[in-house]
Amino acid sequence: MNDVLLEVHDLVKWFPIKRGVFGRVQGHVKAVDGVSFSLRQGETLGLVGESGSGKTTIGRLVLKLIPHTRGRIVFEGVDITSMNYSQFRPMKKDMQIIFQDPYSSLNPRMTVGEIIAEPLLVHTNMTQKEREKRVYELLEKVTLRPEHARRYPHEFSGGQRQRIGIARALALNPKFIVADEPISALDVSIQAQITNLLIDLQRDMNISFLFIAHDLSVVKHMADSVLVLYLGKPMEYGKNEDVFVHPRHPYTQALLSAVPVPDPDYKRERIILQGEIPSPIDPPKGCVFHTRCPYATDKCKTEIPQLREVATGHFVACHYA
Amino acid sequence: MADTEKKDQVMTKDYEVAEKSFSFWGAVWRRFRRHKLAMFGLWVLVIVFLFSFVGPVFYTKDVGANIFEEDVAIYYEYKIEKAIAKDPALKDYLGVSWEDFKAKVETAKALKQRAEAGDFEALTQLSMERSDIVSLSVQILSMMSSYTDASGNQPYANYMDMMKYIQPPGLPVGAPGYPLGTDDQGRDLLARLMFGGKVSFTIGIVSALVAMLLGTTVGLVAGYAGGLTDALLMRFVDIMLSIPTLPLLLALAPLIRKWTKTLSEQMGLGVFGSIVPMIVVLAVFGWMGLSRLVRGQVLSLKEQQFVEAARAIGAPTGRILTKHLFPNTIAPVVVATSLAVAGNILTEASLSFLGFGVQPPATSWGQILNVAINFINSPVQLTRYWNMIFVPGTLLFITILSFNFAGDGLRDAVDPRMKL
Repeated sequence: MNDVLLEVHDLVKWFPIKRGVFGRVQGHVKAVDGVSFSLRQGETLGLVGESGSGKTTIGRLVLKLIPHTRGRIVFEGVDITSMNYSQFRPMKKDMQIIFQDPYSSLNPRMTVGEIIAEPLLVHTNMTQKEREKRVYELLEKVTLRPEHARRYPHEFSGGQRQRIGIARALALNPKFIVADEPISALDVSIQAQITNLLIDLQRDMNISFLFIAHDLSVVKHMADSVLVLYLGKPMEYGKNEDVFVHPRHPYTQALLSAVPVPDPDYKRERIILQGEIPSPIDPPKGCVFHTRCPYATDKCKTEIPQLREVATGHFVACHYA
Repeated sequence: MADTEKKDQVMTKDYEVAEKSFSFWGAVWRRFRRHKLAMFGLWVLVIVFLFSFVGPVFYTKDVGANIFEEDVAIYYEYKIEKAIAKDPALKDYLGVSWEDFKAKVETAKALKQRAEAGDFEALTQLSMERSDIVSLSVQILSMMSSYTDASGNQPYANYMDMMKYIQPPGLPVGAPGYPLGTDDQGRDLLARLMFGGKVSFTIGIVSALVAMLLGTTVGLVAGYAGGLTDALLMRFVDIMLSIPTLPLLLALAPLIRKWTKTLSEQMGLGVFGSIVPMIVVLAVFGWMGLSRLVRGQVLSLKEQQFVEAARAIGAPTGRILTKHLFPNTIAPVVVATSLAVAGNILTEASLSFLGFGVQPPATSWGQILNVAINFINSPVQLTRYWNMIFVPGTLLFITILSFNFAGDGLRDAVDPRMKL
């Protein structure tokens, strides 16, 4: 059970900014800048950070939906970074994605049955009958009814649509699923349903999740390990309890202090971060967080802190952690 | 027990209804049917379509054949006989002139029959009889117009007016055998309208389909490929759009006439020879809007997550284009095409109206209007040839209007989010 499924080494994605008639490259958006992590079979890695921290980009890069700039992605011991689309296609059986927006991620012109059957159609030689049977199984697995297969996506609520998206991702029994903020577009009551559904599926099918979220309480609930991102750079990386119980990075501490606690008597000390997240086009020199860090010193402004192991399996990128 | 059975039946029924919503176009048709104005438009279109394409099967009059003086005289005879049936005193009043007139018409009828059977001599004789037919007709009509009945009225004073039909020969609306009368050449207007409708519909529909094919292909390719391909194709569209169509077509008119001649005479295509150039012209100048529409659709669809989802699944590019992008553009394409049919029929009519459209031997509604416009300045001719203006004009009007109603209804029906 301890075998590593996915390994990411020093992943970098710079989006070029083109201006003018001739599309001259004027600079880069450094969306992801040197991220490494590994994920074991059946475990969940929570990817957290503010908007624009590069979480979603990492999810896309791992599935090769967008080309990366630098780095290495190894899935089941196979380096997939240099593969082209047709070489990589068969591997998509094992790697799937659940999208954030359940409204735009389902083709409005296809029935739910067709949507869920599409991966089967592309990757297997199943007959029409076999596919239909599998679709009904999958619908039941995500607690929808088989007759829903004949309907169109617009006839469903957001939570139901998200379940359809999950059923599509499960169709080929993948080993690894990128869950790209799967619950952030849903109502709070539905969020709990979907979260529990994902946990159940993981237990039943031994799926590994790359769980992207900005809701820390859900990540705490689901994830085995957590990677905190800021401006495309890793700030803190470690086991769930390391990061949530003993956060060492000031940014993680600030994020955790912002999590609402459902207890009216609870008095908390909030660390309020000043200002906006800086532009990833021109990130601050030194530690990228120094512009907003309450403990920043001169050293932080000039020297880039490396990700250091402060305890076993607990990494922090801060000079003073 | 009986109750539960009944309940089960109801449930099965519901399930069957749900099953029907399986097909997209089935759902579109259900929504379309609920759109009253669109259904009205569709019915009118079906009627006009049947009129043009099935009508000639039942109404077999030759579109090219024209009538002669004797046909008009037969019409006069019919009118006067009806008047005599109403007022027997009239027969005594007309006396021997009526007998002479009737005898002449009978002779003409007999000669005509022989001539139609191929007797050339009869034809020559008939043409010699025609001046007599004209003078006898004028005589009998003037007698009719000055007739005073028992109560001192002159009920047939307007018969003097009917003299205009003999020279050049023509018949008014309602003449027996000619429900809509004849045109200025003495040809049956109803037959010509059916024929013209066939031409107008064919041109409108075929050119819209060709333009749809062109526009959709260009739009899909430009939108999906992006980059340089997109830029080049769209600049070409811009160039095509900035060509002033009408002046160019007027300049090209001699060329179009030449094509028509080549196609219909040398290649033996007949009527189709005069339709093909119009279809080509309308398609060549009609696809740009659609290609922009499709490109825009594809650009916005490309950003939708379901396209990314298809790529995440590992669907091949061909499948993404045909299963994910194309079906989502087809609805606006169908709507635009149905509206383009109306536009093309109208453009064809305008071009024909200006004399640059459909060329003889074919005719179209616009072509008939083009001839009729010459009469609009003279009140005398206007009263004689009003049928040539108002009948094709009305047909054109209701056809275009119906196409637009149906197209609008279709636009609403293809949007699954519209609850009609």
